[in-house]
Amino acid sequence: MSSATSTLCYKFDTALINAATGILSSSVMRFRHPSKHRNSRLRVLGKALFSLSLLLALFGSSTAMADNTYPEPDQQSSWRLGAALGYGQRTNPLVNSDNIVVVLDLDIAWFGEHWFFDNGDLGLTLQDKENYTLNLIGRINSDRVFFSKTNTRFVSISNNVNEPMLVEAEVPDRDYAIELGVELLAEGDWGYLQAAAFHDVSGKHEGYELFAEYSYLLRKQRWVFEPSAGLSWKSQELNDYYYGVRKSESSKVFPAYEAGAGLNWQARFKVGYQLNRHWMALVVAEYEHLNSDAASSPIVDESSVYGAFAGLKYTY
Amino acid sequence: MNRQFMGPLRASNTPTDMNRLSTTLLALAGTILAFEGQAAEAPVTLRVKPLLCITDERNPDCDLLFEVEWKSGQPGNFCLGDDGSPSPLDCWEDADSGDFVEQRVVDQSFRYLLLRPGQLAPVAEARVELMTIDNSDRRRNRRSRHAWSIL
Repeated sequence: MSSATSTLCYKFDTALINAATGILSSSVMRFRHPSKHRNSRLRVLGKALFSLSLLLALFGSSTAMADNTYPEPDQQSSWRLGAALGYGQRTNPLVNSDNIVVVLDLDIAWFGEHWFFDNGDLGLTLQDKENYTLNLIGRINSDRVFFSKTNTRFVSISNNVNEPMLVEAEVPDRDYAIELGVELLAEGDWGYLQAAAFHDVSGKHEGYELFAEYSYLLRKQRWVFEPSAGLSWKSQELNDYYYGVRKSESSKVFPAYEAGAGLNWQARFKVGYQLNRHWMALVVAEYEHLNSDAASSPIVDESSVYGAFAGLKYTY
Repeated sequence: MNRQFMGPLRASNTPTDMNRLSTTLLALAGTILAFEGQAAEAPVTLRVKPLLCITDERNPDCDLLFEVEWKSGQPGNFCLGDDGSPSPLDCWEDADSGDFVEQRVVDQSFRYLLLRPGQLAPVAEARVELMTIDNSDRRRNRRSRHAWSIL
């Protein structure tokens, strides 16, 4: 990749993340300290819940007064615009990396009869039947985002005579990949299924990802509960592009490594409370287990990704 | 008390709905003309819980227990009604506060109205909002899986 392209990608990374999530740097050294990671995970959830209670207190009685001024529901708009304000984090499994902090989560989507845009995904509906919908989707691979939050660190290693030595350790850079795929959506009383197959069309990793997620939405008046679970198979090409270490990149800290294909699994739970027509209080917790080939990479420090967010969402 | 809400009011800006609202208010005012009262100068508050009913394809209406409370700075004659039925739900004589509880099946938005004799305009009102979650387009329920979005 040329220097100009690198600069552009870097700027894109920074702008994208800062705009979409309001990232605040937390600079956590991530070289295998299990107790530290455990405390970090608890802190993530604790901070998220604290922010929600603070926002709810601020929300206060003003919205109760506003309850009388709702407009009547109109025909559904093609646009879905919303923003969630609160606090959350997604841990970063890479070494020498910072967690991804989320204080603002934007929801920008537009749904036409055939075409749609959904938070970065561009879709074309090929079939919309009573029981299923088939879409063609173009998207940006999400694995790349973790590489936006890596730093150069000096780490202490031992040489042959057991004398500590400081060396520079920087996680190699990776590019965003544009992927094209087909997506199947199905729903019924049994729940909601989203399954997709993607292939890189930008010549970055040239691999595949197969994905399926099941969720069940339970609504009890103002309360909404949504547990979900999913599987994601990543091909050898995709896994190796992001989590492998080329010989040209290898060092004493990051030896050369070739990753094979693997299966990630994930679970998440969302709880929402509808305060009024526009505002909802939300708490989300999620867990993703990385496949063993990615987790064994020298540039990966943790085999799991934890995420939590608590806040208020406004939907226009 | 179980009570099916029958009021067809949907949007208060259309001529039909305005006519219906006027008729309702006139009927309510007529009912309470029997009460003697004096013009209230003091503010009147009307509190209703809950104010939101959420429906979707699986649950097209809400069966809710409504708690209505009103307070006035000055004693007087008051009637409580809603903008969907001509007869009052309850009336109070020479009172500065009152409460009313009812079980109601809601399938559209409506307003509780507190009226005084001789006045067409309600002295206080509270709107109960029906919010319908439209799940007919299943693409709206898909989750775009990006690391920068957590919801």
